[in-house]
Amino acid sequence: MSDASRSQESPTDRVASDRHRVAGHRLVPHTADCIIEAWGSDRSSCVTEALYALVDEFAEVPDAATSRVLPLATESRGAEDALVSLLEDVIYALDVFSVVPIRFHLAETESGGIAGDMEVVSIDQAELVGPVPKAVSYHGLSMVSHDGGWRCRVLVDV
Amino acid sequence: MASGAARPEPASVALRAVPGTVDRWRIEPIGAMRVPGVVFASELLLPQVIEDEALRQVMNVASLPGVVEASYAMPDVHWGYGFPIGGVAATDVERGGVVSPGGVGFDISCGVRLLASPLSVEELAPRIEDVMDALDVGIPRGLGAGGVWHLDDDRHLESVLHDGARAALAAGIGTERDLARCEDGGRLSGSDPSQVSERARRRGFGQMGSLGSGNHFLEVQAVDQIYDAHTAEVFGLSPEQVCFMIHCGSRGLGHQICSDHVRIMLGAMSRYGITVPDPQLACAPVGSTEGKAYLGAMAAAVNYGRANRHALSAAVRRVFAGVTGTGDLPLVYDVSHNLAKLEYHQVAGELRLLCVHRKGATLALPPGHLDLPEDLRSVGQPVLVPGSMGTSSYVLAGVDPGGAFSSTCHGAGRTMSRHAAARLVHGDELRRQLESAGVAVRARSIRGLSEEAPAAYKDVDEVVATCEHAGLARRVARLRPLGVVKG
Repeated sequence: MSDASRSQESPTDRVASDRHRVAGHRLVPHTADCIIEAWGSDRSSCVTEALYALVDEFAEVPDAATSRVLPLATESRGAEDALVSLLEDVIYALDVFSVVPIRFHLAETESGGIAGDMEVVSIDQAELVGPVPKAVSYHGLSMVSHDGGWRCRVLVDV
Repeated sequence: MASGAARPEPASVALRAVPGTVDRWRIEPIGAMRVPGVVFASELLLPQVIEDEALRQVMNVASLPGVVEASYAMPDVHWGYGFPIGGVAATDVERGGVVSPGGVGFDISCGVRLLASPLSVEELAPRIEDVMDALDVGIPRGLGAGGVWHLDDDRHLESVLHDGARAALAAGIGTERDLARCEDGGRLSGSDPSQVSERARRRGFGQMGSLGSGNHFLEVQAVDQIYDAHTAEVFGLSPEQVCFMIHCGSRGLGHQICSDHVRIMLGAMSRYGITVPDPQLACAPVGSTEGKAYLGAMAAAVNYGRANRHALSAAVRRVFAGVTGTGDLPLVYDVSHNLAKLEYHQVAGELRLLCVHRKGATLALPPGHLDLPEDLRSVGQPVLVPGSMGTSSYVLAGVDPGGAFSSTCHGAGRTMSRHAAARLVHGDELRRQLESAGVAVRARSIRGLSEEAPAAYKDVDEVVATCEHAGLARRVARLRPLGVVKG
């Protein structure tokens, strides 16, 4: 899932160097579920990292997997609402279309939303490496502009 | 932003032993708390209880409008979101009491069902691998859509949302006797499918009759020890008998309903002058438009969850019949552990209508309760407590007077994050350990297996012993695992 412009850290890594990275994400342990932390230079790149983290939490997909494209958009202007909405859209696609996203292409819209698409593969091509995400919690939810970029933290029910 | 700490600092909470009781601790009301917190924990469990955010969440729940008596924590309590997992709280419906979707949790009607077979461990032994292989093929689980009961159309789903396991029976699945051994007869009244979003319906449509992933499982078990021979006999259990335990819930449909209604209540709370310390505690008065809407949708999800376990039972019976020639697997009981119900209880000497939230806690009706079927009424309600993978599970019974609005624990309770558990032992090694201990394993995900390692949980023996000592329930039988089927 990773490419050169993004970073992934293990949960035990420290984030002292985060501000020097363009974008990244990590999974933070929670007793029963999973906490995602992500960061990016703008709102859409931060959300994009959170979406990659959501997928990394439960699936691995081989590079050669065949993909198709599904639209992905939110009109929510609030940063936290937009984050929750797009994470929920990915969970919905898992449940209803039986697909796993492998790449996201998102940008801010003129109306203040976030829109784009996601390349997805059939779940048959994915290896299950963790419990499947099922919902997004508001407990401890945050998405804030920080040090010239954006950071978010969200707890996902698995 | 957090700087890398995996857990928040443990809550600084003063716990005091309640005089004249066993394993019962009290948190005095402070700040916005309207009632005390009461924690059921042995000395052995206490350090694990205070280690994470659970006690802070017990205190937050104690601030909900209309809450009565106490905000309770069962011995298996652990860090959740909004409510702790293992939390029980009741609000007075006629005195401004609220209902909170977070007090039920995302997996509405997550629960446990136990089927008893006519075979002993010795009789099944030559064929157990065949049973496990057939279950491996026949029980949908893991990622995506697909279940053993293919609903025909939206009207079919509607009937499930209305009638729960009764809809399954109407479709030729299971028996009338099964319904008698389900909480609420397999159908929770008050369902209002018009409050179930299209998105929730679509998520649920293709998942009827599936386990899911995470800590959900199907286990083949043996009755390992009987603590009360008479009650065990009434429940239909005997020594060395083979049983099947199913642990799952309302799948994507229930999760979506919780998400939808938390959002609705977040937008509505200011109209009722309600503020909460955690947005996942979003709530509305039980009698409000939003409260009624949630309870109607929640009941629909409860019915879906019960039909889901009912459909999986039928699949287990087919598998068992295919291998052994008998599909005779009577239902011992089916009970939810994520639910809010309107119940009458005595509060300060007065009978009050309460909205009792049980999030990771199980109803435990005492002997004589009129909601119990006649054949169970003399002994109390069966309570099904799954242990962690590879460890014992328990069948308990409700007691009189009980406690925490007739509630008890729901499982072992996690102490360790999934990531930490996965680092502790590799899935392949864990599988070897389980199989060398005589537990056959069929798992979709090796990583998922390691995340459910027994070391990630509290000691279920200690949890149920604490429930007994604290007067919440009593032990009837212990079950040991023979085989586990996981997502």
